[in-house]
Amino acid sequence: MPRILYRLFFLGSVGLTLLFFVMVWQEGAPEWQGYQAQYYRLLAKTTGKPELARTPLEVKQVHLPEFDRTDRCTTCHVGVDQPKMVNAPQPFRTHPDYTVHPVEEYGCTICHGGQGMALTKADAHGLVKHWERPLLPKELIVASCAYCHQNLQGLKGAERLVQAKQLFDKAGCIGCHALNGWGGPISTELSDVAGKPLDEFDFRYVEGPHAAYAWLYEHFKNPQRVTPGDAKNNVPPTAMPNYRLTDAEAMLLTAFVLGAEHPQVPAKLRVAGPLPAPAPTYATPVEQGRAVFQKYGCTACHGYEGRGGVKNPNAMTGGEVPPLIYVAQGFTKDQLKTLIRDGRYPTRADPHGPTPPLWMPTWKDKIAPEELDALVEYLVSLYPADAASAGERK
Amino acid sequence: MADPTSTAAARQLLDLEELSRKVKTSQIWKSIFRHGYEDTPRNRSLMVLSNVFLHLHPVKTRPAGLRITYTWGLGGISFYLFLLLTMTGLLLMFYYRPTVEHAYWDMKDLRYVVPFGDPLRNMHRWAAHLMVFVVMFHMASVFYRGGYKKPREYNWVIGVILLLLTFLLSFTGYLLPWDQLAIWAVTVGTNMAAASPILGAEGPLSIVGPGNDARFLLLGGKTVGQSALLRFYVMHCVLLPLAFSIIVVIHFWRVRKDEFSAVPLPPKAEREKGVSVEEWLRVNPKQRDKKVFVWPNLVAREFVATLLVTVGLLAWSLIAHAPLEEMANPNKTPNPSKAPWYFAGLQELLVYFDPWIAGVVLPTIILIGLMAIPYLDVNPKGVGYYSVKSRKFAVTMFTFGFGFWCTLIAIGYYLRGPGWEWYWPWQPWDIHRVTPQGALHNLPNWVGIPLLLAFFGAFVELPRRLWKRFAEELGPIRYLTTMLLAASMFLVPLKIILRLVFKVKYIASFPGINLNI
Repeated sequence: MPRILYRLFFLGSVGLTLLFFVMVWQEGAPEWQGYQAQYYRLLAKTTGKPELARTPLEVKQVHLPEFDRTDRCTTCHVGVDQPKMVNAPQPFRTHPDYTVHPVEEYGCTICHGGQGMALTKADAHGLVKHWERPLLPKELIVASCAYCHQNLQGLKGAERLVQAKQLFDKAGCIGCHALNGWGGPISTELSDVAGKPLDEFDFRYVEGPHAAYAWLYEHFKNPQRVTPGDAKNNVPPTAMPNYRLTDAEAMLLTAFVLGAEHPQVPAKLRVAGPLPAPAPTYATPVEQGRAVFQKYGCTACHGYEGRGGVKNPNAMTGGEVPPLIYVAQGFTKDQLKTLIRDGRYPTRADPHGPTPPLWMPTWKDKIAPEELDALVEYLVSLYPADAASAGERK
Repeated sequence: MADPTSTAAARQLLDLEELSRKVKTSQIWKSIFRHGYEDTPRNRSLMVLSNVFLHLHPVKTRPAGLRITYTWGLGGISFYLFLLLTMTGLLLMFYYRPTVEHAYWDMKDLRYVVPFGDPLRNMHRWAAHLMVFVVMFHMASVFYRGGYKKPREYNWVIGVILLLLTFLLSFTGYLLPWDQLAIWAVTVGTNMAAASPILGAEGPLSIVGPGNDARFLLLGGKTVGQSALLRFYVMHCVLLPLAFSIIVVIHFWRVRKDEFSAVPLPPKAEREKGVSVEEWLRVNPKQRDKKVFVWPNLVAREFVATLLVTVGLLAWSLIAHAPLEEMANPNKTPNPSKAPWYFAGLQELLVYFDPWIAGVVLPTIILIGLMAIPYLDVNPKGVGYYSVKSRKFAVTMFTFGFGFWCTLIAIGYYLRGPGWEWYWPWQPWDIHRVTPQGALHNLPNWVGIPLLLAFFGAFVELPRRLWKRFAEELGPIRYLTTMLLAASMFLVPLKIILRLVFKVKYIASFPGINLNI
């Protein structure tokens, strides 16, 4: 037999033996064992009981059929329910909330995100290919409160989500977006955004990680950068105006949109929403009109107090959504009502240019007649006392 | 200085030779092992004759068949991969539940908590891909060395059936991880079944509805769901391996009975004189009978080949994880959705043909055509050695078909992106990109049908006039079959050219019965 056969046999046997040892070594020293051993040494030191350092190492898991998940996070984060580890470094620190939300009842990933079944840091924290829900950054974990708590008012720890809701109302997002079926028709339903499959997000212009929260945050900061459209293929840029939000505001709104998702949680965990507020009373029709203006999200396009300034590229009205403070001069009250009831598409400044992305929706099926009356009173009242003449801006 | 009595005692106590002799002459030993291991011709024969597994080999074989460049070990490696897949698959079955609730999470468990689960699954997956690849090239190598010719015609047919079973084994296994890759690849594949003529709900001349057509038979439903998973599981783990095992035994038995095809080649001096292999063998008939023992010559080579394949696969399995995408989501179709790579060529043809042609008619013609090869190719030359000169026609036809198949796979798998748009490997995918195709038009039937008839007619008539002797050697039936099959093969690239250059959508079209060519 040729000598090469012996050589190949020798090399193959040596190779197979080596690979066998590599495989056993990979299997025998997994990443989590290092963390767990370190934890028990630390625990022995903290508690003064040296025998704890010899605790056998094991994979720990919380199996939660009602959440349809198995969380093995506590294999490394061993100290989550150990009060002595309050000052320990991560991953061993005590969970601040472990008595209220015990880990054996809730697991971890329902609030934090991440891949609960994985046992390596990179895979478990979930910023890996084909895992849809990576670990949420610290500032955004608050979003998950809303999955169960329908009433966030006064809920300890959820203050930022309350702030986020206030900002959401004040900015008038509801004018274009619907939330749980209520709101304007111009853009997407917000409760569907956070749960979308990741490949429905376009990450080409996102600088941060490949995760829904990064897309949302950067889109809030600068919508045109994240969704610039594609002129070559006739895809227009996003219609969402750039509101020049601060980092903190963008983070709040990101948390709000993430919290608007409805993941499946058992009904018994749902905490009921607030009682319906009593109908407010208003001193004047103008007061009521201001509330109506707020309620329907007119702010988002027409600006705070109708002062305008929101871009609407290629609209006849100077490339912006028209401000409302001068309507008293150009329209009668009846004309205003008709316009609000029927809606209007803006005329293009350049007839061959793109369609202006924002338009005035039809409100007649949404707005009540009394509300419309009050709204028109409010709009008329916006006319500044010191205005020089029609059309001129101060 | 050692005490002589004690050393002698020790020697007596540990007399290994004596011990070994006693063991080997005991009744137990002799009842199990029936011959010794001294390197004698008798033992070499007995190694093969008295061993049920090795017995699938002959005792002796011609040395020409031992050369690595003759078989490339492809047949043996295919079977070894089948064994490896059976073993790893059996182990995987301990950890896998074929239900939509559990299947995907069981994959994650294999990856993260089952001891050696990750290399196990990786090895199963990569070995499966390798097996499809090796089986395809085994077929090609048998073709090029004329191994299918008389008396081995029927074994080639069995080989084609095994090729089909390999595809089906791999395809049914593709669904089991229950991720996005799995359900959409299987959706693409099984939608072709719905396009079958007569028996598919969406095919021409359909006599069935979506609730009782061929796709429904495969899936146990109209879409890929729980019943499809269970059916594929049973087919993958029981039905197909069983069929494969039975048929592969016939394959081996026939190789054993018909002998290896390899023949010795004339020495270089003779070849330079232009002596053909057949002539030389006729003059030197003794050359054909020169044989060597299979043990150890062939068995050792087989062993080393399996060893090297194992090393390669294990190394690759420790480096590369088997793909596992997001959990299956029937509401979210990935763009693009691709069939498994070995069917990507047929999927690529969907651009140019209706599904009933690309997915049903062409694969059927390919399989029938492959099975027909040994009965159509009556050229007695080129058996048992690689040669082009003496069988130009056969080699040209096969190379064209095989090359075309591989090209289509490469295009479908590597060069297609969202919207089945053409992307070079270095181009990033752009979900908005739509390349305008320009208006496609159908040829009117009064042009298209005569054109088709003329095309097939030319394939039947022209060669007969140009190469009279060739047609006479084949005889009318063989000649007609060969030419019709060749015409069908060349119709595919012709249609592609018609589509790309002349913007022709259909050559002939009968929308009333869903029949468009």
